[in-house]
Amino acid sequence: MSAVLHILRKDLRHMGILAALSVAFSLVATLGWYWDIMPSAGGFLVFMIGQVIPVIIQFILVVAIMQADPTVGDRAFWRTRPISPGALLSAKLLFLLVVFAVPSLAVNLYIAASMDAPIRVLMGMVIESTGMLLVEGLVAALVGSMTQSLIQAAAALLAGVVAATAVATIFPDLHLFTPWRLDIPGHAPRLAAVGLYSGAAALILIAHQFATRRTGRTLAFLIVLVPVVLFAGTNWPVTITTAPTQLAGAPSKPALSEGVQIMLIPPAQVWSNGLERDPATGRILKAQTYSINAAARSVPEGRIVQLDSVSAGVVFENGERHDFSTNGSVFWHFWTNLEQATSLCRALGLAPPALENEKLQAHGLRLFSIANEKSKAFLGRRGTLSVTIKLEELAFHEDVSLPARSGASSVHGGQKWSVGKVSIVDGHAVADLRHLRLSSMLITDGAARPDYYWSEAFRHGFVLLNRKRGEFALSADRWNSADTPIWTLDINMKRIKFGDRWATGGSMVKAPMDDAWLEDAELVILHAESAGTFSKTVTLENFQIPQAEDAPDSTPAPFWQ
Amino acid sequence: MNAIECDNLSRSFGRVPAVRELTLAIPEGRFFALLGPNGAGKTTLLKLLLNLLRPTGGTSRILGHESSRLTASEFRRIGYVADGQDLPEWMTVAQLMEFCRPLYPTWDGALATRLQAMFDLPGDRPIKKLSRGMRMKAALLSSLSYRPDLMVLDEPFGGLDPLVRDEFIQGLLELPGDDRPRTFIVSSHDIDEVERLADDVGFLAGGRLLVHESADSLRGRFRTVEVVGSAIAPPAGRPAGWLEVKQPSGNVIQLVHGAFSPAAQSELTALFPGSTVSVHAMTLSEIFLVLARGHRDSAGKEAA
Repeated sequence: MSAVLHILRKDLRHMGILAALSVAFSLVATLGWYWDIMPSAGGFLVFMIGQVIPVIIQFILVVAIMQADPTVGDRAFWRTRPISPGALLSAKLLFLLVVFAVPSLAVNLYIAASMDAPIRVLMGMVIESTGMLLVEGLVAALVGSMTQSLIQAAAALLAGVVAATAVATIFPDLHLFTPWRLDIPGHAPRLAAVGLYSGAAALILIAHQFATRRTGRTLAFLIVLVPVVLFAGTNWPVTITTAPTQLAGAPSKPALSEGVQIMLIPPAQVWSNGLERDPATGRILKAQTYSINAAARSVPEGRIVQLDSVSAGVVFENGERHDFSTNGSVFWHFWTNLEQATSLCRALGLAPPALENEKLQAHGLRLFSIANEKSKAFLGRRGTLSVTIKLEELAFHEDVSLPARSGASSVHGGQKWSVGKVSIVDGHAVADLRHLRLSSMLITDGAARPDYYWSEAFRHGFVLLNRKRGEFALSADRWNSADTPIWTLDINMKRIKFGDRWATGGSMVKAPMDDAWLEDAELVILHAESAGTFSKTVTLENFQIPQAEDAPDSTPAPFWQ
Repeated sequence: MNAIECDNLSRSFGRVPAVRELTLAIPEGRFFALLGPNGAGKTTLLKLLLNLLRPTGGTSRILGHESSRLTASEFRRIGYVADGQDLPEWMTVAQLMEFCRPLYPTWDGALATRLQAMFDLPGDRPIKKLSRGMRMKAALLSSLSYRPDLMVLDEPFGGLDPLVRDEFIQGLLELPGDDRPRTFIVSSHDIDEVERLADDVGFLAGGRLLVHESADSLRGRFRTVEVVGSAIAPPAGRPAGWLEVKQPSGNVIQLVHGAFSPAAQSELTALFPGSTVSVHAMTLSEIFLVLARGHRDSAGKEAA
């Protein structure tokens, strides 16, 4: 033990300045965002200080400390001194613990306690960040120099990503998370995925060590790595899928209702100035986009349905069939404001307001796109268009309630909602909200799931409730800033614009909102819980693809009545 | 007791053998000079002894312990200084001493101070700013200060200018008996450097130990011989011990005798009656060169 502490003291003396810098940047990068003293839109400098520099310093420090007493080669000073490999390895791990893990743990403990995070979330965060350190340390220890470390780290990363891509391609049912997937924008899960793949690559490197008869070193690293890999391996493959989530602490999952009808509202239209990527060549081609307005009918009270995907195919009169590419879920998130409003009010026990009949103003549904070149082959041919619409049914429940005043905040299960500026613009309230969330790759459910932001952020509903006056206002519009993930802390900025005042009985209060009204108001944040998904198939008989228009005209033309 | 024992020790790098089935025993209390040309396998042999490299065959023991099982406690009794060895460059000499001190129960602070003064080493200068000679001295200082039983020096004089090299050797020679490690193993490709120090000499070439005997014995049996006479010629069959026989003119024969003795002297006189036979002692350096040339020639013939 004394040898371990002796080496640790030596390393701390050697790398003291860099270690202090690392701790400082790590604190700034975490607490700075948590305390909101880092401008969330501070540009390049903030990005560098908050995200890039801590990562670079950590990498340099980990590599430098591991290679100060190299395990590779036969010239190392320690090899002919009374220092055992075990003591050396312990000292190095202790250094990583003292310089990285302990400050990180302290900060995370503070933040987790402040945000009422469950202990399992905290543990997940600690293990996740320590695992990343271990991977860096292992790569550094297995190679001889900083340059080699960089090259090998890049090679290991590439190997891990390529291997994962191959697995994801061969076994698509695993829904493996790939770092470049455009439909998963959160940086934190990407970083964690990179860590996962690097870990796999580190295992390959260790296997190489073993194959080249460096048995002792291989065993030493395996003893450290295997428990981590075993633990992570049982969790991450589950976590990194994009399966629907169930919020911890939420009411029991609502049952999926039956009988929801999908109403297509003619005319269907074709937009001739669209673009389509050819899946075969990757080229961007001029395309026609076919859409139609649609509305959901017979949706139970308090529920909404959300589009998940649309698949379309046409069968021509001669029996020939052509399937179009499936459209993903990146379109309309809610069918109508009316249905959302109804659902929000039901969840809060309020009478839904008598909004205009929005069902006839249903959102456009993009049925399919086809490149102009390809559409020529179908011109003039009649057939039957079959459209399968996959939908998710959601039910709102109250999640958080806090005063609608600047500075108010509420913590709840590892999430923190803070109210920024609240102002009145043209008789309507506008509120800036800050949503902090702790996440871990080791957590498979609830708000701590790394992919929670993407799947859940649009499922929040906002209501200004003034119990004193018996009135409320519903969110009418919203803006989200870019997600700003700092390691395990995700930050999301929202600006919510609220609509007219309504009495809790359902009638409109024909008066503008003012500061006095806001004084007594509370902001209620609701969360939409998934009840499950279902599919509806509609058929358009006598369908015919019209002549494509090359003119850059944005006016749609009807093609089906 | 032997400080070093090797039994059929071998090490190859890929298909290239560096040490071939080497068997050797070095008793405690001796100063052993391991000589050989560049690439002879000297450094590899020392690294095998210290477990810095794994053998591909055979075994070795150092201070009674198997090399492959050396632990921290054995390294408290062994000093190792090598040309090109990594040192903690960021440390000053004083910091290096401070780091090493707690690792060795036998650390002698007074000896360290004496040696530092003798080597004229500045304590406050970072090692990375020291000259090559100074670095070697710092490494030697950090190894002698705990009074190791065995000191292994691998090419310690390589690249040192003559003045520093002389200081270095003088430093070793001037160590009082109590301050000196009992056993020294020094590898070098230049015998001049260790001539004054060596008790025993081993000559390594092509990974094989060609000679291992005391320096006195070597000096005793190697002689240069010059025969001056009238129309003389070497005998048809080369007599035992004759090496590098040359005849620069019809009246002169020069040779190196590798097994000189009073009997050999008589044999020479009998072979060249009426001629003058001059016999001269050889330095280890001269003997080393003869052995090196002999190995090179025989290796060339084998290759041909």
